[in-house]
Amino acid sequence: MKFILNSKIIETSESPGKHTLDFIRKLGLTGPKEGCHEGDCGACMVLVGELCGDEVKYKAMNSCILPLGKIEGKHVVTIEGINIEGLNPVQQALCDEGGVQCGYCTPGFVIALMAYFMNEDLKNTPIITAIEGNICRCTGYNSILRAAEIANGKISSLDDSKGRIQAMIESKFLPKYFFEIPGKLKKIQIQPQLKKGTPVAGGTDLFVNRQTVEDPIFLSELGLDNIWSDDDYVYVGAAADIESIRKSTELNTLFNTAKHLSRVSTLPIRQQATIGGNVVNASPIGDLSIYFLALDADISLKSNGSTRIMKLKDFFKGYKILDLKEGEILEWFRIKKEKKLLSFEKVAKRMYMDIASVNSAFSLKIEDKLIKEPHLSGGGLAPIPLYLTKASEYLKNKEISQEVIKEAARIADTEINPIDDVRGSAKYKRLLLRQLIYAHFIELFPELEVSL
Amino acid sequence: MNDLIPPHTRGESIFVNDIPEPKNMLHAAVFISNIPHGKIKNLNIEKAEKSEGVVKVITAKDIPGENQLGRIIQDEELLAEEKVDFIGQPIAVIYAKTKEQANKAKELISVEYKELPAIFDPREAAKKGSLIAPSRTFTLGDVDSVWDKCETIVEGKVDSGGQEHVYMETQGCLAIPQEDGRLLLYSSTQNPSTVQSTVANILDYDMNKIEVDVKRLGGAFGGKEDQATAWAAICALGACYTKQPIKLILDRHEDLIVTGKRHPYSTDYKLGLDKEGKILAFTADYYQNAGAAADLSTAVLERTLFHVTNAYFIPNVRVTAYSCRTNIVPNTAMRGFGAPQAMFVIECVLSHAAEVSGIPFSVLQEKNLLSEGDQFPYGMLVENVTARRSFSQVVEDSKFHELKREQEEFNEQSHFVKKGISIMPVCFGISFTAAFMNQAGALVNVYWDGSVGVSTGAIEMGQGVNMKIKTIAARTLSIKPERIRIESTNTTRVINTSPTSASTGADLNGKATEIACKKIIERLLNVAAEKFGSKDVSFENESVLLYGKKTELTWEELVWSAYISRVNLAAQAYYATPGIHFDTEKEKGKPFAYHAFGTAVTEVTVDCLRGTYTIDRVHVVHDAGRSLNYLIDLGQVEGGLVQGIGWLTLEELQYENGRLTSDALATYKVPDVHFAPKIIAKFLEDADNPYAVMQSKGIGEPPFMYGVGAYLALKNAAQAFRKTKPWAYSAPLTPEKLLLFLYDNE
Repeated sequence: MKFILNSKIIETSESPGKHTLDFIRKLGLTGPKEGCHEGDCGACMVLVGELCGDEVKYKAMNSCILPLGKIEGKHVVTIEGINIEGLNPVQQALCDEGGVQCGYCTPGFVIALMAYFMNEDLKNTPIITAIEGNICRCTGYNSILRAAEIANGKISSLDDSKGRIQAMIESKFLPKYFFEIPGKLKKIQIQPQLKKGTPVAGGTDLFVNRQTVEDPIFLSELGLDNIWSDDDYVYVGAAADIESIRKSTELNTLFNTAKHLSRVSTLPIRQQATIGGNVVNASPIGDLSIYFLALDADISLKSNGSTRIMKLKDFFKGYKILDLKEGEILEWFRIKKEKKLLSFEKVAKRMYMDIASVNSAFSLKIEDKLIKEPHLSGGGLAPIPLYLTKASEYLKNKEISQEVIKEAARIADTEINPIDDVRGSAKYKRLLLRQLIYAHFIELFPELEVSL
Repeated sequence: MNDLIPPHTRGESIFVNDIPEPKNMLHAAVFISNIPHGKIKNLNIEKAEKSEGVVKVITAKDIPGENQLGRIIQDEELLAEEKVDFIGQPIAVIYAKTKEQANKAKELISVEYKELPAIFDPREAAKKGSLIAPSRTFTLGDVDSVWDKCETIVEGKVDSGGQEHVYMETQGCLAIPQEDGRLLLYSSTQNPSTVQSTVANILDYDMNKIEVDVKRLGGAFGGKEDQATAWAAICALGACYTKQPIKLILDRHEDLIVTGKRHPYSTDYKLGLDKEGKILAFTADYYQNAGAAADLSTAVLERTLFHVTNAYFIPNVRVTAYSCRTNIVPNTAMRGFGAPQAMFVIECVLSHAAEVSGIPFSVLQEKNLLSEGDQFPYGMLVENVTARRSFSQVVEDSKFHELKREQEEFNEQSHFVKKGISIMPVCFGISFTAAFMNQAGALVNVYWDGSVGVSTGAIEMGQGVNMKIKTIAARTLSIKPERIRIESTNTTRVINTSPTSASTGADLNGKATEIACKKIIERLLNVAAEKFGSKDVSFENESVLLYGKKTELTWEELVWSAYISRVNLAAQAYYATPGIHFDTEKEKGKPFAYHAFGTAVTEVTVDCLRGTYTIDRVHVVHDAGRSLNYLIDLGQVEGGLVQGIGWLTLEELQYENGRLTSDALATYKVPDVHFAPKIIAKFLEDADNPYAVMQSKGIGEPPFMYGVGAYLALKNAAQAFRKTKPWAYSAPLTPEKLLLFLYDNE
C-alpha cells in the first residue's frame, strides 16, 4: 500500500490492520505521542488529507486507533510535517498565551487546531469543538482557548479566495510542499478491490488498545458512506461517518440532528466512526442506535445477491447478539422523510467525550392535541439498545399531561433491567431514565408545567 | 513567556519514549498480581522463558541486592516473593526483543495463590490495627474545656476519593549499560537521586555506578516522585542480566492499574462556634487509605495534619490521623500531598456549621481567617499573612455579594436550573515537612565564549522550573537569557538531590543557582577590578561598570579575560532553607519557610432535572509573592484549579474487590476543554516574600485547593432545589451522586 507521510510517498507491506501511530513513530517521527491508545486523549493526532476532486480535505484523527488500511492513498501529516521555519500562528499563540506546560499533549493540540483552520467545512463550528478530543492535564485549557482565538483571528483574516490551504501556504503558515500534495495523491490512487476478510467500518472501537483484525475490509471503500433520499425516505449509508450524519442537510431539515449528535464522542472520532459501526458493535449504550431506534429506522442487510430489510429494533437480539447472518453486511438505514418532533438526551459523567450512563431518544407527532407515532428508546438499561415498546404504545393517542408523562415513565421502568457498572448504579440508571423521559417532554414542550 | 517551550509546539522535545532506540535494545513487560491478597504457592515462568524473542525472565530471587522499594519505611518489595498485597503488584519481568513478544510471554506465566482475606476500607483497617505507622495527634489549646461555651456544635463525617495523576506521559525508563558495569538510566522521574540509590541498593551497586539523567517529564503531579523508581529498577535489572539496553514504557491501562494515586480519606469531625461565629474548637480523626505499602503515606498524613485549619485560626484543636494499610495499590504523592484532603474537611465542616448556625458560610469563613501572628496547631506563628487581603479582593473582583443576590433571585424563578456560588480561601505551607530534604545544589558553568550552562536538581515537568531558573541566572549574572542553557538533570552533575515536589523546585534550586551565579560574578569582578585598578566595579546588563559608569568591557571579554587569567568559571553552590525544624515528639515546630495564600470564588449551574452541572467561572486572587514569570504562575493557578475541580467532581476511582474498574481514560474522566470553567486569575500586588528566591513564592500546589470551592458551590446550588435534605459530605460529587441527592428519598 502507498500513502504520503508529510512530504514523502511511503510504500509499505505492513498489515493494513497495524496502528498508524506505532508505524509512524517507528519511522522516527516521535512528535505524535502515545497517551492512551484508545482515542481518548488526542496526543497522537495527525492530519489525514483525502483527495476531493482537485483539492485535499484534511481532518484531525487519532492515529492510535487509525489502521494503516484507512490511510491508503491519503496524505498523513504529523506535527513534523506542518513545521515551518519559526512558529506558525497556532504554535506562536500557544507559546504567547502559556498554552503549553509539559508539552506532551501539545503536538496533538497543534494538529487539532491546524485541522480546524485548514478545513473550510468547519467555518461555522465553534473553535472549542476543534480541541474537544484533546486532553491536557497541565493547563486547565483557558490558555489554550485564548491561544486558539488569537490564531483564529490571524488565520481567518487571510484571503481565502483561492482556498484556505492555498492561502495558508502563501502566508507561510504551511510548508510549501503542500502545493504538490494533490498531484502526488492523484498518482497513488488505486481502485479498491473486493477481498475476503473482516469488514471494518470506522474502526474506532475495533482498534482500541492495540487490538487489530486480520485482513480488514474497509466499508467506506465499498461506497456505503453516502446519505441520500427519495420521495419517502432518507437513507444513511452504514459507513457514513457520524459527523457527516450530524451535519447532513437531509436530516437537519427534519430534526435538529446537528445539535443532538454534537455530544457523541469528539469531532475527530465522529469524523472516523460510522453509524454502521456504532450499531453493529451492539453496545447497549450506542448513541446512534438509540437515536435511530426512536426514528423507527429500517435497515438493509445485504449478502450475495439478496437483501433483507427489517426494523432496527428487531436487529438486536441479546447482549452483542444481532440478527446478522454469515456473509451479510449492513448496507443502509432509512427513516421516513417526514417532520417529527425529536428529542435526544444523554447523561454521562463528563458532558463531552464520554460514554452515556443513560441515553434516550423520543420522536412523536402531535395531531389534534394527541400524541401520534411515539417512539421512545433508551440505552444503558438492558443488554441491548432498547426500544421501549410498552411506553411507546401507552403514549399513543394520549394528550400530554403531567400524569401521562408520569405513567409513561412508570411503564418504561418496567421494561428495563439495568445493571451496576462503571457507568453508574442500576438505581441511578432507573432514576435517569425517568428524568430523561421528563426531559424529552420539557424540551419539546417548554410551556408545559412539570414538577418532580 | 517561557522561552523553553517553542520546541514543544513543534513536536521536537524529547521524552523517554522518543529517545532513539539503541542497538539490541530489549523491551520489558511486567507480570502482575491479579488478586488483592494471597500467598504465592507456585510461580511458573518456564513457558515464558521459552517463548519466542524472550531473552530473560526474572523473579524476586534474581534480585542481587535488596528487594526493596520503600524509602521512608522499608515495606515494599520490587517483585513479590512470597505474598502479594494488591492487584497490580509486580511478580516477574520478561525481557524480549519486541514489546509484542514480551507481552505474549507474559500470558504464559502462571501462578497459583492461596488467597487471604483482604481489606479495602481504611476504617476497617484501623479497627483491625492494620496501620502503616502509629497514629499522630496535633493539639492546640484545650478542646475539651470549650465545648460548653459553644453556641453551635456540628458533628459528622467527610469522605474524599482518590485521584489518578493522569500525567499524559506514562511511567517509563530506558536503561543503557555502560563500560565498567555502570548503568545510564533515562527515567521519567521527579526524583533522580532516589531512583539512583534505590536501584543501586537493588543491584547491590555503589551509587556512583548508576547515572540517572532526566530531560523533562510529560507531567507528573507527584505520581513520579516515588513511583517512577520501580520501572527504572526493572530496566536496570534487565540491563544487568542481559548486558543489553532495556526499555519499559507502561501503557495507559497498565499505568492506571499498577501505580498509586492520591489517598482517599474518611474523616469524623466535631466543631464548635460561639454566638458570633468564631470557631472555638475543632476535633477530627482522619483515616487515610494508604494502600498496601507505606510509599510516602506517612509524609502525606503529616501534611494533612499541618493543614487541618486551612486559612483559619482555631484556638482549640485536637486532630488525629491514621495511615491505614489496605489491599489496594500503595497510594502516593499527588499535588497538595494530603493538604487538599484536610482543607476539604474543614471547608465542609464550616459549611455544615453555617447551615446549623444560620450564619452565612462566607461570613463564617471571613470571620475566622488568619491574622498576623496567629498560631497554627503545630506551633508556628503565621507571618506576612495575606489571607484577608486576597479574600476581600476576590470578593470585590468577582462582585460576590451581587452575584449571590442575583443567584438567589434566579433560583426563585427557575425550577430545574439552579445556580450556586462559594468562596475558597487557601493557606498552604511551603517546604518539605521533612526538614532535611530542604536542600539543593546547582552547578553553573561559564564557557570561555560567554555561554552558560546551568545544572540543578530540579526536574522540568511542565511547571516551568527551568525557565524560572534561567530567569534567576540571567538576572543574577545580568546577562541576556539567550546565553543560558538549562541542562538535563543528571546525578553525576548535581548530587544527592531532593525530589522536585512540595512546590519547592524553584525555591530551592533557584536559590542554589543564585548563589552559584553570585560566586561567578564575584570572581569576574575581581578580574575587572584588576584590569581597571579599582575596586569600584560592578556588572550590569552585559557590561562592566567602573565608578557606576558603563565601560567597554563586555561579558564576553570579561569571561575570556578571566579564563586567560586562570580564574575558575564553574561554580557549584548549595542551599538549605534556614530556620525550619519540627519536633515530632511534641508535634511542634516551624516546618515551613512561609505560607502561600489566595482565595477563589466559584460559580456553578446545576441542571436539577438531569443531575448534571457546569462549573461556570472562577475568580482567583492568588499570592505568588513577586512572580518570577507571570505566564508560568498563571498556568499553575489555572491548571491546578481545574485539576482540583476534577478531583472533587468527575474523577472517580471505582473498585470491585480491590480491582480498579475505572481503568482507562474511557472510564476515568478528567476535565476536558468543555468542562473547564472560565478562569479570571489575578495576583496580589505588593506581596514580596523575603523567604524565597527573589521574593517569589512556590506555586505548584496551592491553587489545586481552589477546586474545593466548586464542590461547595455545587452543594449550594443543589440545596436550592432540595432545601431540607441533609447533605452527605462525600466526594467526588459525580452526576450520579448529585441526582441521587436531588431525588432519592431513602
